[in-house]
Amino acid sequence: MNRWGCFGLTVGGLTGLLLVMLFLVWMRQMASAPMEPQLAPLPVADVTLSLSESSLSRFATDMLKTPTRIDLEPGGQIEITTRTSLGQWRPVVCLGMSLGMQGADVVSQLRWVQLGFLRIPARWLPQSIINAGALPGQTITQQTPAEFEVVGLQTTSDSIEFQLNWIGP
Amino acid sequence: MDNQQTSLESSLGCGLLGCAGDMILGFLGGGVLLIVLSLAVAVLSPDPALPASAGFSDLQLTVREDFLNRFVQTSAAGNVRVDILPGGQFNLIFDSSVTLSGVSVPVQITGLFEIQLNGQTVELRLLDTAISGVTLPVELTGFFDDSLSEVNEELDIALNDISTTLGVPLILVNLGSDDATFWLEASEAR
Repeated sequence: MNRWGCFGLTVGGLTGLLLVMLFLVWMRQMASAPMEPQLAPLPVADVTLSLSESSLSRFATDMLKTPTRIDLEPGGQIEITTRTSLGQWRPVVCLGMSLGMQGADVVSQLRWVQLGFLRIPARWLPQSIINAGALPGQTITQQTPAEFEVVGLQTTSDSIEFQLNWIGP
Repeated sequence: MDNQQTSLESSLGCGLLGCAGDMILGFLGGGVLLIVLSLAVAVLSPDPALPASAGFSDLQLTVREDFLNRFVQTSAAGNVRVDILPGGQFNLIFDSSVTLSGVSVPVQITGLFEIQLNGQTVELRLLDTAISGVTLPVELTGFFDDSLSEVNEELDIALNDISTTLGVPLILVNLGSDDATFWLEASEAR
């Protein structure tokens, strides 16, 4: 190979890798862009229930029967890290979710999935995985006692707070 | 001279072709490598560890005076209201009337209660009773005893329900009030 060929090979290879890096950065930014639902200001409610991050993680671990870590962030952002089945492998995946209110329902929405250092936006994932993102919101709604309705929720970096109104027996 | 020019153009052409080809190869190869490495990292990662306790209670429950008032008004007959006081105390005020010699006289019965932690239960006890401002000795207020036992049992049931929902026993760590809310803090028994 002549001098120009070697030079082209090197520049091409480096540019290709640079493009991959830029693609990764773009994908991460796109996956991290804020999405609905957004949290409304908290109303004054009859009962307020606050649960810690560690308590939620333990609850999720019991429910999924596999070690699960929940990291809360302000603004209804939740990251769930757990081991899941992917074909014949069981990789650790991290799910980025938004939690919010939609009318009287608590809804959760999958925003991205991180596999190793690859963060994939939810819109690129199969519908079945996107639908599974609604599970945390549905679980909260199911666990709410029938005498109460959730009227608001808020997350901090350590805990999640539910605002409940009593609707009677 | 012409041969030299042609050779240079040919070399440059090869270089540019190699550059473009390898850019595509680098992009595709990098992408495949990235997916394989990501999967390998994810598979080889240790199980996620539970976050350490942040140093405060795992569960905090706050109940407002408005709610308690609505709750007792649907549960009890007559005009009953709750007035929460600081220090885990509250007044239960019952407005009624008695007829004396054909004249209806308004009467207000006020019970001063204290709610506190007793080991791993929440206990409600009567501190003081007054009828229209006249304080009665505690010995004469036995009529609250049955209700108190019932309320204490219901408090136990409510705490057990919370514990069952969370799937773990709770350790009660704090109970308090200001002039509008009661709060209860608990940690998980691990």
